[in-house]
Amino acid sequence: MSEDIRRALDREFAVLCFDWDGTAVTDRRADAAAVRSRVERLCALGVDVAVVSGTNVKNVDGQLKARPDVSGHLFLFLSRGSEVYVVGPDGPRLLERRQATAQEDAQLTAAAEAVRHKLVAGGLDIDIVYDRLNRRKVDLIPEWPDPPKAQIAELQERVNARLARAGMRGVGEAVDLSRALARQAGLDHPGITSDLKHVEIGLTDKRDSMRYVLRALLEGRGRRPEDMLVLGDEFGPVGDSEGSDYLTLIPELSRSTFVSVGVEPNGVPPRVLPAAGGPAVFLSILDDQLARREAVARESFPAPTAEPAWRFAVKGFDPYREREVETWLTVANGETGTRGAVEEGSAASTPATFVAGVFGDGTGDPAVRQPVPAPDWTGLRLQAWGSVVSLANGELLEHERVLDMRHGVVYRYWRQRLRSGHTLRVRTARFASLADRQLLAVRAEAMPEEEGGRFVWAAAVGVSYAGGATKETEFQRSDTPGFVARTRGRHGGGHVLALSTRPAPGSPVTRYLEQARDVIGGRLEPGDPATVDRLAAIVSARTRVPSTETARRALARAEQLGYDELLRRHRAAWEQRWRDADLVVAGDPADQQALRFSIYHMISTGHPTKETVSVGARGLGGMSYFLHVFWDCEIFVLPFFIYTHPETARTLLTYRFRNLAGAREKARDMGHKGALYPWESADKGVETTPPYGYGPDGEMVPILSGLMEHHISADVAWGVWEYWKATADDAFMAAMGVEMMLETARFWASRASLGADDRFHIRLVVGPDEYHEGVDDNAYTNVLARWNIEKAVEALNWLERVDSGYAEELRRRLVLTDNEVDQWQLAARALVDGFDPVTNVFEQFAGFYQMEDVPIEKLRPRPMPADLLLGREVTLQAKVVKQADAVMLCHILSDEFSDEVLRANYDYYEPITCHGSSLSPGIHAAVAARLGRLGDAVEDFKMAAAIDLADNMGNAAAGLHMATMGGLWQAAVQGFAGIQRRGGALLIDPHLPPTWKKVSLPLRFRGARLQFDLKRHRGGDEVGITIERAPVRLILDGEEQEFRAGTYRLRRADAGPWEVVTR
Amino acid sequence: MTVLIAVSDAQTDRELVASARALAAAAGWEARAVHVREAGGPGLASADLPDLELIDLTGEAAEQIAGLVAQARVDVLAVGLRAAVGPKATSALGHVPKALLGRSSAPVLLVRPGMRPLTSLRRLLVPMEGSPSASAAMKAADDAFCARGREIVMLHVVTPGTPAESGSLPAPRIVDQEHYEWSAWQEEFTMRFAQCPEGGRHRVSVRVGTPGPVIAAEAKASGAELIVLSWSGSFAGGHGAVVKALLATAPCPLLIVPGGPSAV
Repeated sequence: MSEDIRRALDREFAVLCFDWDGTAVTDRRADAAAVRSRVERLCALGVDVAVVSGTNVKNVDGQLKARPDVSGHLFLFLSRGSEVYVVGPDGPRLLERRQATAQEDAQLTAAAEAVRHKLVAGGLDIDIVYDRLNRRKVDLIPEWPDPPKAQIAELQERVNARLARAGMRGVGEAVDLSRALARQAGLDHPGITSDLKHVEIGLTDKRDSMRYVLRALLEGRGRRPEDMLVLGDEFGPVGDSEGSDYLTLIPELSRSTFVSVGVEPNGVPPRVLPAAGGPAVFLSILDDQLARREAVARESFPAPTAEPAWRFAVKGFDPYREREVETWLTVANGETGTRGAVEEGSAASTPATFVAGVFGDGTGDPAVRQPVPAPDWTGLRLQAWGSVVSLANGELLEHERVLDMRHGVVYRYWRQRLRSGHTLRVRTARFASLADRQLLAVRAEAMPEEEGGRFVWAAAVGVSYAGGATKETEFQRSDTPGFVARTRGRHGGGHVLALSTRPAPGSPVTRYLEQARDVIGGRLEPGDPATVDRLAAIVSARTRVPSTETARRALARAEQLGYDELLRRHRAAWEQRWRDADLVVAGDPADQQALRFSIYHMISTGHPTKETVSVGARGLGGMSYFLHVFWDCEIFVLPFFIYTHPETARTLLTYRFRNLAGAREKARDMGHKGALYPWESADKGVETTPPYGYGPDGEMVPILSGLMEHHISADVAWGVWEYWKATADDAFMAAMGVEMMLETARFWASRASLGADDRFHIRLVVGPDEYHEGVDDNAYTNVLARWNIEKAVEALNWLERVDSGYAEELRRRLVLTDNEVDQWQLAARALVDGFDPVTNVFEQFAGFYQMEDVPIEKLRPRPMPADLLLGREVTLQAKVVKQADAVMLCHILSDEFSDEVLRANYDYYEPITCHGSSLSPGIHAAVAARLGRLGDAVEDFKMAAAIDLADNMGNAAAGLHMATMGGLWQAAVQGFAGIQRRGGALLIDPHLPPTWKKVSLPLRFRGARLQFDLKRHRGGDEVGITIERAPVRLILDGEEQEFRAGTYRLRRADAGPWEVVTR
Repeated sequence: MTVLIAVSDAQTDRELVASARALAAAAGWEARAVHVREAGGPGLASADLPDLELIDLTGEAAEQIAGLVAQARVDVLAVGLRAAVGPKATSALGHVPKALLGRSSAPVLLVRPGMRPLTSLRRLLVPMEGSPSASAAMKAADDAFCARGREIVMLHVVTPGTPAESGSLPAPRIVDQEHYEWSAWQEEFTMRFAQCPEGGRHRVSVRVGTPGPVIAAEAKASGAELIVLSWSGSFAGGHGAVVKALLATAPCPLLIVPGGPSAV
């Protein structure tokens, strides 16, 4: 092979296109096993292979017999441009066929017969082959049925001699004659070709095949012509007519690489490289392409980011902590969540996959609406040197798992010395696709280190260690290698899991049956990887089990892309999300990690488009709280999405809108009007809080939250309002938001009752501080109720201004009169709120000040479960607060209350707040920061961060604390960075902790994208702001100013005013 | 597996012998006795301890017994406590049991006259602070005694402090929704610290207060016949305060498992 050809072939081609007869095989009787194995391996590596031939599928596939594992990589372009087949595990499937019309058939016959007539008139004996699709073959030398390609010179001589007897110069003239007669017969663009023995008159030719290749395999798959190699054996003239491969040289493919392995006695066209050597050289070219890709596949096991600030690493294996680790390492995408259990299982493992929005009736005591977990799709069992590989077999040498937060992938690196003395290495990389939320994948590699041996992977599908409301799971064998599992919930929804396990590209292992089990393995030498790709698809429905076909189609999508492409798209999707969400803290690695960890899990849990699911209190990584939705979503997590991914925020609010019917039903059941959102919500929007539960010692305790914790209705309204004001999404507000505000306002107006003091009261509630149940006039509840009514009226007035017709229709539908609205406002104005204008403090509830004092030292160290340590009876009668209540009120209505009010309530309630709830310390951190109490703020921030991450409490074993995560984000952004909404503007008032040298964060606000960089600088604060897409109003020193798109630098000395240094 | 009963006087130690033999029977072990006498001093007659193999040794009691434990592969050593005498008596731990607790590599069964005798071991109490090292007692209890028809009560006493050890699981300090938190915590507590393949029953019990008195009260109220807890063997630096308290107040025999810090 010449240097030019070597150089031209010294690269990977994404598409390999080749002729069949004479190029891939010597003739139709040759054994094509060598071609078959190479074609199948190329397809497994993701290469697209196109066979372009004039003959039919019976001939080509009958000889090639390739059966790639996955359909979509091997194509047959046959019958000289008239047919296209795709070949998969079950053989060829017709994609397209050009079928001649009756007229065209008649024209083809007329043309062929006219040629024969002419040649017979010249004294020649000529046959016509009629049975080829869309063409007729005029046989110029019937007495030689099947001349081999090697005798092409002799064939040319004999045919020309025959034609000379009829007065023709040669085959070229026969071709010209055929073209003219075909046109005379009525064929405008006949395809005339010759292989010397025949002249073929057809409707299509290889140009049609090549144009299909260009369209489908190049342009359609995002490639360029230079990504294709075309191999043939007859590009140059044969006799005085074109070679059979000449027509593949279409102008659109001028940048593709063309190589001839044929004899080419008359040379090749300029675009073609002459390699000669026939099928042997053809095979060597395929081998070279394979070697390049297999080397890359072997060396390119995905790896986590090297940047420490993006890595959440867990070294070793501690069975005591393994459940917490599994929760931390959950991979989720809003549709499903899969715990980070080790693939081979262990005595400490609790693998589980949760499917958002799919619930059923639990059978426990009490019966509660519970999720229906999916089967565990991650199971992979490895045998090496004849023994089962597990952490319990031998000695653990190295073990590390890394959550690459930037890309949403969990990696595992494990070295083990088995009891037999052999050592091996195992790596896995697992993710739940953020780009295609029905898909999940894991790649697992095992490799002997010092001594070779037999390695076998067996796929396993197990039951999620989660309990749940599963009625039944039916496992079905799949046509593709794997399983299908259909799961039905008890009186609820269902899902279908389809999964497959295959050798990864480049791995020297194969699939085979071992004792009726489908396994993948082989004999490996040290350094050889036994690598498998497990792909899974989960499709779900709220009220039924989806069709198996839906799951199969989803899995087919995954298989067509393959693990590497799925991973690439998944990583790209995560990069995209982080662009608008990342919070970069310089100077405090622990706080940086806590924030990224929180953001990672919030992004993983929120679904941007599915309106039937929301963010449960414990996310998608554990069974705790049964995936139920609380106010944790609207008050704690929603702000993160509002300011970083408003599309998800809108979807979370749409979940509540869809569940208005359930809220109305609850209000009605309790004798009220309007909408009372359930305290705990699952799939149906109705109350799912159990009436009782079991306390620490197994004693039955009544649960009053479902009956009395009503502030959730106002919390939802708050979420609606906050979203609207921060995004200016008027379309949402008009279509959904106003109605939610009105119905919740209506509830409050009916819930409040007029007392003898001519004031309205809301009695017998539970506020955020759940140590005190059945209280009257909880400040948080009452003030938020009043606010709810006021804002609902404001929203209605707005709607009437912008769309009076729709406003009228809404009023009609809600049967809402002016009189009723007046009554609401009356109740709101007269509603007791417990505020003392002298002290600026809200009395948490009526009679709070008369409760017993508890020495502060008895409420330490925090967090502290006061009801447990002091006793329920004591806390019920004492001024002890479980979590931010009045302080929470001042925080979420920060644009309603002055700093003086905030300070007064913080100072009063902070010492007596135990933080006995995970919802508390993050909010206290935000408030303390805003007040400049940095010591307290940092302490509370670290307390919040430790809730899931401390190593001596085990809090995360059954799920993550999503409200804590939202609270940490609020503390960082609204507290330390001091960026908070005021009306339609953003207030900037940072109070950075001493260890935070700088913090950078993006926000989205009313159509604009802002990038903030904040730092302490020479005894003051410096803020860099870049504004894109739309102007923004900022509040500096109490003054609101508009800032257009651009970059700004602001500076202030401590206690000094802001100065805009650069614009 | 063998229980070695250190007998100084057949009459005084008859409750010790009875409890130790019952413990051995419950676990399916053998029981043997050892008596250490001073040189020239009187020994015990076999008739004093019928159906029990008696090993007769001479010398310093703690040293001889510790040596025998190590050499004869004894799995549990049973030693008698003397009742605390006088209002100012601070410990019922005599000098021989005290020495043995610090040296024995095997768990030590302590029986004080007047304790509820151990008979069929239908219920045992394992106080647990929720740290991995202090759960050695639970492992010992599961390994030896977990069986059908027997209940092991995992008693967690909640105190204001929490163990610092990685992997600990004390009672939750944050309880968002009680009805979910406690059932999840109990499930994790059991999974983390208990491991009984024989179908025995575990029950997690939570109390609040000072561990010593709470454990004693709980053992009495529940009718537990044995309290199993781990201890390093040292009272120095305040360690072993719970053990010290229970030596005087436990209503039933104590099985002290060598290992990490005091169990609670």
